[in-house]
Amino acid sequence: MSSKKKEMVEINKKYDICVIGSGAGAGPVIYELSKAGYSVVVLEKGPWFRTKDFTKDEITAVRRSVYTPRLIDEPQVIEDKNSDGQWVAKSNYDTGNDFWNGNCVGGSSNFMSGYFQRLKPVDFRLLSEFGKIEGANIVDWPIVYEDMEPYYTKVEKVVGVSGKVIKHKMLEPRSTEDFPYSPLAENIVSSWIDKAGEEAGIEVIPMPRAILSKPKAKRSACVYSNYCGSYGCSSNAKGSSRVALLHDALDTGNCTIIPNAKVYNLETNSNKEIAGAWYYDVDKNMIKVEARMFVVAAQAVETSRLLLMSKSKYFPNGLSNNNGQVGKNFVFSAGGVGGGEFYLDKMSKSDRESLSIPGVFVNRTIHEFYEYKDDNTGERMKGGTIDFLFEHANAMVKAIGQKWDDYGNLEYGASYKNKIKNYFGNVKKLKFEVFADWLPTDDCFISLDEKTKDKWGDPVAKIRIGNHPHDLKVGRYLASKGEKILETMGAKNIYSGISGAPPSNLQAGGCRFGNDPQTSVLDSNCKSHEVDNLYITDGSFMPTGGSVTYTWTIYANSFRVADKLLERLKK
Amino acid sequence: MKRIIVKKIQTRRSFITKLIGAGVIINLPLLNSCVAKSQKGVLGKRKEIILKTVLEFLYPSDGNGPSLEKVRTYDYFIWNIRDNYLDPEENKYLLDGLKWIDETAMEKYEKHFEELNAKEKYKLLKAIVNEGWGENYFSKVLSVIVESMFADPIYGSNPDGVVWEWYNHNPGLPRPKENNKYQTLLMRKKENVIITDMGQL
Repeated sequence: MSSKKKEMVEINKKYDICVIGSGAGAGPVIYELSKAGYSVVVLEKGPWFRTKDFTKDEITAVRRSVYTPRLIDEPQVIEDKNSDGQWVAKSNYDTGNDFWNGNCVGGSSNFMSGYFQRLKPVDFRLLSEFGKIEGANIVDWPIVYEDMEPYYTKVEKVVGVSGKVIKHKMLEPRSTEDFPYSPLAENIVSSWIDKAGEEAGIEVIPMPRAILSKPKAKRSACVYSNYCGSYGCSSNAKGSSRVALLHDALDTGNCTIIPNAKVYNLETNSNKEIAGAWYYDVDKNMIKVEARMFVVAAQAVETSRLLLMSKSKYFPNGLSNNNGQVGKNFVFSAGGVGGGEFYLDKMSKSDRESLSIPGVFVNRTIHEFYEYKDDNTGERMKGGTIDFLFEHANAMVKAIGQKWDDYGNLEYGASYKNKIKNYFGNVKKLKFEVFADWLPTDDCFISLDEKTKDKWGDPVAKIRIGNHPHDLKVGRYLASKGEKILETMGAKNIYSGISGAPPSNLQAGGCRFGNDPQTSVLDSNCKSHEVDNLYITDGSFMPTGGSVTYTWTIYANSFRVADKLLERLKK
Repeated sequence: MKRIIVKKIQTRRSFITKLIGAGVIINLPLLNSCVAKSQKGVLGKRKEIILKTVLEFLYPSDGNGPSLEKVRTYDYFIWNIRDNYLDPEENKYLLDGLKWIDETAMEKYEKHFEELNAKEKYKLLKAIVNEGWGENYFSKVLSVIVESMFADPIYGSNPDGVVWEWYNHNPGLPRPKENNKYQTLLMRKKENVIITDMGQL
């Protein structure tokens, strides 16, 4: 293959829409425009895995780079601050600090856990509600919650969200009474968390999931396989873009998906519009696709990278980057994790058997501290959420996690064998995850590393991951509430860890939307201020991230932008 | 939420042969008999002996659960280092560690590792695990051992799920088959296809 001469080819067809990426940010646009009769071509960097390809094989899903690229082929460079306060850039090929997520048709939505929560009205008005914080680039969104609400509701129906709405202090306004799908089956531990919440005076509420509790069209209900996050769904119950949206889009006959198509340049014409998207096929041929409109949704890091790589005489600093804003104000979800242990030999036979039932969900969360008053100053603070879950069933990860003792020394031999025997047989770990705003700052952004190239010879993304100290303060407050629940439940070995290390799968920003073309990349409809036929619909648009996982908001916003695109195309 | 997992590869730095006799000395069998015919000779005799001794050192066959011989960990290790899709540096590291262990034996005893008696081998490995490079290397090998133990039997180890049964672990369903195991799915990355119909979900 490598000796074959590479070709440059232009596809002899002009599509209405070319979408780069096929995950949660891309799926709704593909779905809506295909259904409306427009010709849509999708360029997906990763391969096409079918549902029948998805098993609960830990080697494939967790221990090998099957769903993501190999870092030797496609590294990224991570800039972190060392103990002297200096920024140090290292290739993640050397560190393993991997920021890739789900490169395949349907993107990382195939592998999400599907914890689905809406942003709240205050998230759209963070600056107005909570004021400036020094060192943070906080802004209000150019739209309000009410603009997004119909689309959150649409996602509940089209993608499928299960759960139970209950009245609580921080419940966001809803246009419907309840979720269209009833809650998934729960483990007995959920009732223990509820009871602990009552005793501790903390409001615990059910957690919605993008997982079907009953069949929907061709999709089956959840089969409680016990392996959800990081694994593709084998029953199609999980609301991935692939099964919930792309399949229906293909059924229209208007949609074409090209997998293993790595887009490397968006070519511009003299009108300062995109004339074509160039991609490498599996044989490294360079192929150009033409379309009227281009939608980029390659996940936040790669979306900014593609724009920065797409330089021309009209955009010498990268596409849509004459104002220098592309890649800036990148955010993650701030927070951390905590947990505690329950010992099966210390509980009744009935409790032991109930707790050990595999597959059923915990599905509990706390929203009470989405806003709170600082204990010392009494100041109104933006807080976040706390989600509860069992430790993942992954056996290798569990056993490998036991190989270090409390002092950081390697455990091996008979003591290690006994340790994992006890851990697997007697310990049930309940964890919690804290989600808070990762405040946008000048120290968190995407750029290109011109020295480090991927397997195609293109510069890779450089990710600077500075965080604001305020994030840690909020995270610790929330973690203390999570620990309080575990203490009340009688858990042992309770711990929590809040740090500035970001969760690589919860990434947003870099092409923030806003009304001012000088300080934002996109307008309120997620259309580029500078390029009239460019839209961005993954999490890149978010100027602030809120305090929940992003996927529902990304889906909802993509449906919203699809409506804007349809309005424009119909003119 | 996925948090950062940092890959740490530490090469053998200046290793001073300063062995401190400590801990309980056990007999380490050579385990020559457990070499699967298909993998025999891949490493060469010296490295084969070192690897088997290291495996036994890290996860001894003491009657507490299935032995690594029964798990077929040695074969899994060979499969692992011959996997071209894995990071070649990491696999080289797995092999280099075996060489460094032999070099350490030469420095300390002026003998190759296989010429040491069982007590000397144990003392040597015990000393190496207390070195920075040694702990890091053994940690990496231990991860491969764990993989071999809990991997689906389709990859050649953990026959009949013997480890799953011992640890009372429920593997997720569906389990991989030939048409969707790791090696098969890698082929999807080379597919030159255009999707206009997904067919059945």
